[in-house]
Amino acid sequence: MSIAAIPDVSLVDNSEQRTPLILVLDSSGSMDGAPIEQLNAGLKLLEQELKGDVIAAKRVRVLVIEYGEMDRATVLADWCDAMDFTAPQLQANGTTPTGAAVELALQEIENEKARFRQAGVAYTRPWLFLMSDGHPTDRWEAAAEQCRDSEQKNRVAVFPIAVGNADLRVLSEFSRNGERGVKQLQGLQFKELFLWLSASMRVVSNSTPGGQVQLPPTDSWSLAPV
Amino acid sequence: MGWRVVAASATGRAHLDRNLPCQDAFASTCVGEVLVAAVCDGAGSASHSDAGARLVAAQVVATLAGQPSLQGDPAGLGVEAVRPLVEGAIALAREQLAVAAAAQRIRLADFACTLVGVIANAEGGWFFHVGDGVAACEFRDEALPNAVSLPANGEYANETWFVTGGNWREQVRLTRFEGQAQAVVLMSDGAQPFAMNREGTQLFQPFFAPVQRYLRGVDVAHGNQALAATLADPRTDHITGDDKTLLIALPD
Repeated sequence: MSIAAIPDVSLVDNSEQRTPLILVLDSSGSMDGAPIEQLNAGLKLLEQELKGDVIAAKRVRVLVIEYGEMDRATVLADWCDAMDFTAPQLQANGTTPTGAAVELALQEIENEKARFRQAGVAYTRPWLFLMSDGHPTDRWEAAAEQCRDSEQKNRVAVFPIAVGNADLRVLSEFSRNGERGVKQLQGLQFKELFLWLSASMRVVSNSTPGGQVQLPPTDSWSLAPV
Repeated sequence: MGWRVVAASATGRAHLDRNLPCQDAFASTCVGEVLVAAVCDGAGSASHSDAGARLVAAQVVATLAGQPSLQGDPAGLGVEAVRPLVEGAIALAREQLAVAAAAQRIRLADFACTLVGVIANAEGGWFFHVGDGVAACEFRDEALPNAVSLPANGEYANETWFVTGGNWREQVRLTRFEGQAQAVVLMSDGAQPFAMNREGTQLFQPFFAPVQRYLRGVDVAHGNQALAATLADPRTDHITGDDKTLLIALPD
């Protein structure tokens, strides 16, 4: 006969580990129509998938930045636990200030980490998800260098995603892995992209020491398999 | 006076779902009144870390148990006496891993695992530690806080140090403790969120007190199974996806 578990034992989560995820999303005019609709649907899917995983829901922290209008980068949804995250609705119009958006993102990441440290909360490496369908309209070079440098120093993991006619060379400048680091979205497979992202966040937020985690394959949405 | 050692590992939900083996391992032995025990947690990113964890736990315990100078009164030894013995035991385990790696044409890093262990009699001793996991001693005098050896991480909670790392000697941490022991506990980091308190600095009594009380009333074989069932409780799946190991030593 198998022996049952010890009775009357409290099993609660005393840890407060967090996994920050920052989405930097291009909402310039060229995204109008199907692309922005698919992107919004993808965000909604991300919300549902993260909320559907008990551990990811309480550990993943999300912040969304959109960039467009007249070279403006805006925090569209401020840091919150995934369980409290409501996917914002992006509207396409304006230019592509990639540089300003990434600078804002890097600053938000460091601010969030400082809050974690002050509160004594452990955290995993933040993910910066940079999506664009065009060419930057602002002075992006310094931001790209800062972004590469941050990734080199292990402060953040950067995932540039190229949509449609995005400038691959420019996006590659934001990753320490160069062009190898850039993923090209197949058509408008935003749904698959965000399913991959939520699956990856589940892996990372569940992860414990190991230095590296095995991420799901990207071939459902990416032109360049890892 | 010897020790009663109850221990179990439960494979984490994330590993079960992906058909991965349990990458935690433990080993213990008693030499007279001295307990030697270790828990190793294989790195999730390393392909053979389950084998690495088993070998390191077993080898380090066997080597230290064979050291005559550690018999009797471990807490009476100074760090200058303990450190070479612990480093020697780890170095020997690393040599064996290197031989196994060469034979299997893999890298030493493929065996990556952490190590947390103890050498003690009922009046105290030493914790030794590389990477994460926790060691704790609860004292008979309830007024005393637990003696603990806390996890060491890099900046990020999912990165730590391994015995297979090139800088392992720098990462070996030794902690001396002294006092009448009520229980000595080793755990992998998967058990930490529910077995340690919110600050992560003391055993979490709503978990640990009923476990200890129960284990005192049963034999070791029964205790091992009950502990395994407790660590496999579906409620833990809401807390961690990782493997969970607890080793609890009670002075007889």
